[in-house]
Amino acid sequence: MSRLRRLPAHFAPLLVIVAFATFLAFSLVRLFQVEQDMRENVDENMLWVITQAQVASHRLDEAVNRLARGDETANPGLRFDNFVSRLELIAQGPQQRYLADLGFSDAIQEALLGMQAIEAMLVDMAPGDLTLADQVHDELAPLLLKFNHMANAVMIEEWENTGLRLDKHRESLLQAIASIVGILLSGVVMVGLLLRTLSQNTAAKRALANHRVELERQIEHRTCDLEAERARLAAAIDTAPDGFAAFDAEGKLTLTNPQLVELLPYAAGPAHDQPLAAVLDTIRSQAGMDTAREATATGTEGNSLQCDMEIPGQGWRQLTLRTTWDGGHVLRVADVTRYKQAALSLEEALQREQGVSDFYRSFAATVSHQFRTPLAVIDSGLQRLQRRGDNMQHEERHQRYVRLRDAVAHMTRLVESALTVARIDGNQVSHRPDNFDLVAIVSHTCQLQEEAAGSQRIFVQHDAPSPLRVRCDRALVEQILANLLSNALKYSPPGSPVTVRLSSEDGMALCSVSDQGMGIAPNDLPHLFDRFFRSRRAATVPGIGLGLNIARYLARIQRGDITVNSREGVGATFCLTLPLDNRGTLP
Amino acid sequence: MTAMTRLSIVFLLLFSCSVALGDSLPPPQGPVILSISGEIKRTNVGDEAHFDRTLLAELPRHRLDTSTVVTDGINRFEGYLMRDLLAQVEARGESTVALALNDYRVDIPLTDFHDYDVLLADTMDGETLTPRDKGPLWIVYPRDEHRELQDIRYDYRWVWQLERLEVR
Repeated sequence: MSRLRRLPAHFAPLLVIVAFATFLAFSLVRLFQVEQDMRENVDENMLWVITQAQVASHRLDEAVNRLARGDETANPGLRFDNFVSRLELIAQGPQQRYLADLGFSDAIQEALLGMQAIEAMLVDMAPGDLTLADQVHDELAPLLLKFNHMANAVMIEEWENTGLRLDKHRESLLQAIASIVGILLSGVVMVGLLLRTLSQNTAAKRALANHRVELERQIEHRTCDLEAERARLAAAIDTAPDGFAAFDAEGKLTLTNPQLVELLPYAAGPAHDQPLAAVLDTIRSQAGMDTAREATATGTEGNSLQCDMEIPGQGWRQLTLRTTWDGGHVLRVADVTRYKQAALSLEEALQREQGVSDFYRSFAATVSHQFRTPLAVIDSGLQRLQRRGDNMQHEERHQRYVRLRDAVAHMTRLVESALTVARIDGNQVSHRPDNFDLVAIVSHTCQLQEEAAGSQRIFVQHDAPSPLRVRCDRALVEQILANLLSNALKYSPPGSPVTVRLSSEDGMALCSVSDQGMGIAPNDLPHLFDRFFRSRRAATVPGIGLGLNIARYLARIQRGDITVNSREGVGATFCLTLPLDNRGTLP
Repeated sequence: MTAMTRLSIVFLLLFSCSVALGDSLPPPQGPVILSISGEIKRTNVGDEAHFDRTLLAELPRHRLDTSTVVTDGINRFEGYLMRDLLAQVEARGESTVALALNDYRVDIPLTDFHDYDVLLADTMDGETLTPRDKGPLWIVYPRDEHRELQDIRYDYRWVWQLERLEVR
C-alpha cells in the first residue's frame, strides 16, 4: 500500500495505456493475419485453377471432336498438354493439400489415371475417327462432373472462409477501435493528471517566488534596520566622551570614533585599520606597561582587561578591553585624569589627617614623658623660694632664679624638639630641595653657633673646591648643622677646638664635625640615634635625646645621611653627607 | 575532290549503314517457342521476332532461387533475364502483353523488368519445363528477394506456358 501510494498519480493510467496498447497490438496482428490471408487468396486461386481445368477439358473434348469431324486445324495435342498442365497444377503443392482437405485426393488420382487412358487413345487418332472421339468424350465426362463437384466445394469453402475472415476482421477491428478508445481515454485522464500536476507545480513555484520576494523584502527591511541601528550606534559612539574601537573575531577594526585617537595618541593604529594585536603591542611598548597597572577580571561575557596608564602631559587614561559574544573585542578609552587627581589629593589629605593625628599623639607622649622632670625642678625651686625667700641671700636667690630659668629654657627646647618629632611622625615635615653652596651654609651656621655659645673655637677646613654645590633644603641643613655643632660644643671641654671639614666623594658632599670630648662608649653607639636615648655619661649635660634622631631623619629625607665615629676619651666625629648638584645655579 | 572519291565515300556510308541497320535477328532454325511482336526494332520473321531454343541461348543465362505460390519450398529456376530479351529485340514500349498456350493473357509494365531481375525460366530444379507442366517458358519474379513482390498483384504476372509477347 505504502509503495503504491508513493507512485505518481499518473502511473495507473499509464499502466492502463500499456495494457490497451498490448491489446491493440494483438488486434493488429490478427488484422495483419487476415490481410495476409486475403493477399495469398488461395481460395479464389483454387476456384480459378478448377474452372481453368474444366475449360481445358472442354477444349480437349472439342478439339478431339473437331478432328474427328475432319477439321485439320484442330490440335488435340496442344489441348491435351494444357489439360495435363492443369491437372499437374492441381495434383501438387498447396493445391493438392487444399483439395485433399476437402476430400478430393482420390478424385485427383482417378483424373490422372483417366489422362493416361486418353493419352493412349490420342496417340493413334486419325482425322474422322468418330468412335475414338466418343471414347475420349466418355472418358472426359466423369472428370468434368468431378471438377464440377470440386468447384462447388471450393466455392462453399471460399465463402465460409471469407465469412470467417470477415468475422475475424470485424472482431479485430472492434478490438483495435476499443483499444484506441481506451488508450485515448487513458491518455485524456493522464493528460488531465499531468495538467493538474503542472498547475500544482506552477502554483507551488508561484508561491515559492512570492515567498522569496517576501524573504528578500524582509531581509532588505532588516538590513535597513541594522544599518540604522549601526548608524545610531556610530552616532552615539561619536558623541560619547570616551574613545571606542570595535574589532571583529579576526581582530579587524569594524568601528571607531575620533575621540579614541584624541584620548590615546598610540591608538592611531585603529584609525589606519591596524589589527587589534598590533594596536595592543603598540600601546604596550609605547606606554611601558610597568608604569601601568594591569588587572584581569573574568566577567559573564568572557575575559576583560582593564588598566590605567599615565600619558605624560595629558593625564591618566583607563583602557578597558572586553571580549564580545561573537569573539570580537571592544576597546574603550576613558579620560580618568580628574578622578585620578581627586583620588591622589584625597589620599594626600587622608595622609595629612593621619599625620596630624600622629603629631598630636607623639607630642602628647613626649610631653607627658619629658616634662615631669623640669616641672618638678621648677616646682621644688619655687616652693623653696616661697618658704625661705625672705631669709635668702641676694646671691642665693639669684642662683635659684638662674636654675629656674634654665629649667624653663630646657622645657622650651623640649617643646620645640617634641614639635619637630611630632611633625616627623605626622609626616608633616616638608622640604623644598634646591641648589645651595654647602660652604656658605656651614660658615653661616658656625658663626651663629659661636655667637650663641660666646666662644671662638670652631675651625672650618676646606678639602673640597668652593663653592660645594649640593641639592638640599637650606633651613633643614642649618638645623642639622646647628644640632651637630651644639652637641660638639656641649660635650667637649671648654677651650678645646671643634673642627668642621668639608669634602666631596662619589657624588656626595661630606661635612664632618669633630670634637675632642669624652667620646662615646662602644655600647652606646648602636643606640645613639634612637629617640630619647641618652648616654649615662651625658647625664650631667642637659638634653632630651631627640636631637640626633631628628638630625638623621632630616638628612635622610634629603637623600643624605649622618654617621658617627668615636674613640673614648679622644673625641667623636659626626659626618653629614648630602648629594652633590653641579648643574644648578646660585640661589 | 574527285567523283571517284565522292562515290567511294557514299559507298562506305551505305556499307556502314547496312552494318548498323542490318543486324536483324537470324531466323530460327528449330521449333519456335516464343514470338515477340509490336514495338520492337530487331526482327527475323516479318515484323516479329521468333525465338527457338538456340536463339534464346545467345542470351546470358541466369539462375534464381525463389518460392512460388503454386509449389512447395524453394525452387531453382534457370533461364534468361526478361530485360536482356527485350534489349535483344530493342523493344521501345511501355508494357508488354504476355500470352500463354492456355490463352492466358496479362499486361505487364516494362518497368518491372528494369526494377527487378525477372527471369524467363526454361528449367525448374534442373528439369526442362514442358507444355504439359508450365513450359516451355515461365516468367518468374524474384519473389523472395523483394517483399513488395509478395503480392497478388504481382502473382498474376507469373505467366507460365508463355508463347508470345506483344510490346506496346
